[in-house]
Amino acid sequence: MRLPNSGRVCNKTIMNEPSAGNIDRDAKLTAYYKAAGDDLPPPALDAAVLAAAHRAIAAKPRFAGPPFSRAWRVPLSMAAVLVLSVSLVTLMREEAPDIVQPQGADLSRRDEKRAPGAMEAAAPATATLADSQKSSGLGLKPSSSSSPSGLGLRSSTDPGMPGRLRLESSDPHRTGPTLSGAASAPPSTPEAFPLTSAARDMRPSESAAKMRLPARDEAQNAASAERAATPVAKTLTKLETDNNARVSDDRRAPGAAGVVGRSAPAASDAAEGRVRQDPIGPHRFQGQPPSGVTEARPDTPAAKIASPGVLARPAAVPATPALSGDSSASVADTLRSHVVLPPEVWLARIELLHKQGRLEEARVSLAEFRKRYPAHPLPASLNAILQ
Amino acid sequence: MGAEQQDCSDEQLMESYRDGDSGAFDVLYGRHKGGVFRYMLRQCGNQGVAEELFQEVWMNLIRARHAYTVQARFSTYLYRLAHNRLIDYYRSQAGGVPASFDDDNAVALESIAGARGSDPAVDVDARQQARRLLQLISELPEAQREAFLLQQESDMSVEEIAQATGVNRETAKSRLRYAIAKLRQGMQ
Repeated sequence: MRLPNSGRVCNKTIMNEPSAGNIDRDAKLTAYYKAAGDDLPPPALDAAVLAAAHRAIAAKPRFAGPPFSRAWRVPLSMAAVLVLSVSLVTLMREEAPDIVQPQGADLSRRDEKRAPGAMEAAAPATATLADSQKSSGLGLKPSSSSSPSGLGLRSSTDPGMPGRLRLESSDPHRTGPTLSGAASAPPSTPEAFPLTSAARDMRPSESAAKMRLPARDEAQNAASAERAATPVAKTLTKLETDNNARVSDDRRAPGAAGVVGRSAPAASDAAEGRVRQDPIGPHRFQGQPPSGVTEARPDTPAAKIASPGVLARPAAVPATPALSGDSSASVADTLRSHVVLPPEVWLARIELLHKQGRLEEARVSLAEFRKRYPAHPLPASLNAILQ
Repeated sequence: MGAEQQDCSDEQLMESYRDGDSGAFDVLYGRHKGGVFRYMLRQCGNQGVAEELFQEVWMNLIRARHAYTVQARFSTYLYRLAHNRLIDYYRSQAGGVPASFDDDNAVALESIAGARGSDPAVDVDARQQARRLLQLISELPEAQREAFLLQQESDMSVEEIAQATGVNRETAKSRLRYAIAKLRQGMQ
C-alpha cells in the first residue's frame, strides 16, 4: 500500500486500523492475553483494602456544611452595611440641613448653631425693642409722637439702665463720640457679653474712659471693606456717602425743621438697625436691647456695617446732628434693619412703610428684598411700589 | 452485598460509596481489583512493588471519595489514579520516568524493528503463545504497554486511554497502534 505523499510501502499490519479512528482489539491477542494468566492480588491485600474502605465510612463523617463563621458571614455583612448606611444618611441629614432650608431659615439656623444662647437673648431683645419703640413713641408710630425737640430716641429710652449708651442723645456731655466709639468696640472674644454687661452698668463717663477704641481707624477701614464687599453694603455705602454730605449741610443749619421732624422715625429705625443689623454675624441677638449701642458689635464686620455712623463719625463731631432727620440715613437704617428680618416680617415692614408714606424707604427696601428673595411672592400692594 | 448493587454501574457504586455505602465499594473492588493489579504488575514487573502500588491506588480512591463526581467512566478515573501513582513510582526510581512517555514514536519504531527477529513457529500451543505474549508485552515501551494494558484490562477506547494517561487522543492512538503492531509481529 502506498501512501499518497510518500514512496515507501507501509507495513500492512500497522495500517490495519479501523476507519472510525478507534483501534479494534485484536481477537487473537486478546485471547492470548486472557490465557496468559489471571493474576490477582493476594487475599490479605484485598482484606486490607476493604477494611480501609469500611473504616473510612465508619469513621465520623466530616461536617459537610459551612462552619458557623462562614454561615453567618453574609448576613452579618449585610446587617453591618445596612446599619452603616442608615447612620450615614441620618448623619448627613443632620449635618446638611442648609441644602433644603431657605435662605432666611438657613441664616437663622446658622445663628442658632453658632450661638446657642443667642435665641434666649433674642426674645428679650425683641421685647425690649418693642418697649423702646413704645416708650420713645417712635418706631412704627408717626414722627408726630416723638418729642418736640426731635430727640426722643436720643434721650434715654430706659432710664433704669444707664449703661445703655445712647448714641443719639442730644447731650454732648453724656454721649460724645468717645462714648460711641467705646461702646461700639467691645472685645471680640467670647467674653464680649460680660464685658458688655459691665459696660452697661458703668456710668457713661466711665465707659468713655475705660472703653476706648484703640484701633478705630482700622475698624473704619475694615468696615469700609466689608461694606464694599456685598451689594447691600454698597447700597449702604452710597447712602452713607449721601448722608455724610448732608451732615455737613446739617451742621451748617442744625435747627432746620425738616431735620427735627424726621429725626424721630429715622432715629427709631437707626436704633432698630443697630440692634438687629448683622446679617452675617451670629451675635446680633446677643443679649442687648435694641436701643443700646453696646448691642452692635463693631468688632464683627456686620456690626461695622450696622453702625457705620457711629464708627465713621469723627471724634470731634457731635453725634446729634449727624443722624437726625436725613432721608438717606433713614433709608439706609431702614434697609439695614430689614435685611436681617425673615421675608414675611420684612414684607410687613415694607407695607407699613408704604402705609406711612415713606415711599422712598419702602422702595429701596423692597428692591433689596427682591434681590435677596427673588422667588418670594409679593403682595399686590407692594407690586405697585415696584412698578 | 446485594444483588441490586451487582447490576449497578461503576459510577453508581462509587457514588453510593461516597454517600456512605461501604457495600458498594466491595462490589466495585471486586470488579476492578484484577485489572488494576495486573496493570501494575505488568508495568513494574515486580510482585511486591505491584502489590504496594495497587494498595496505594485503592487508598487514594478511598480518600478522594468526597470529591468524586461522575465526569467519565469510573474505570477511566480509577486507572488515572493508577497511572499517576505509577509515574510517581517511576520518578522515585533511578531511571526516572521512561522515555517512552515523552517520545513514544521513536521508541515505537525502534521497538517494532527489533521485534522482527522473533520466530513464532517455536510457540505451538496456546499456553506457549500466552507466555510469548507476556514476554512481548514486557518488551514493549512503557507507554505503549500501558495503552495496551488499559485496553485489555478495562476495555477502554482510545479517548478513554488518553484521559487516563493524561495525553491527547492522537498520542494515545499512536501508542496503542504501535503496541498492537509489535505484538502481532511478535506473535507471527
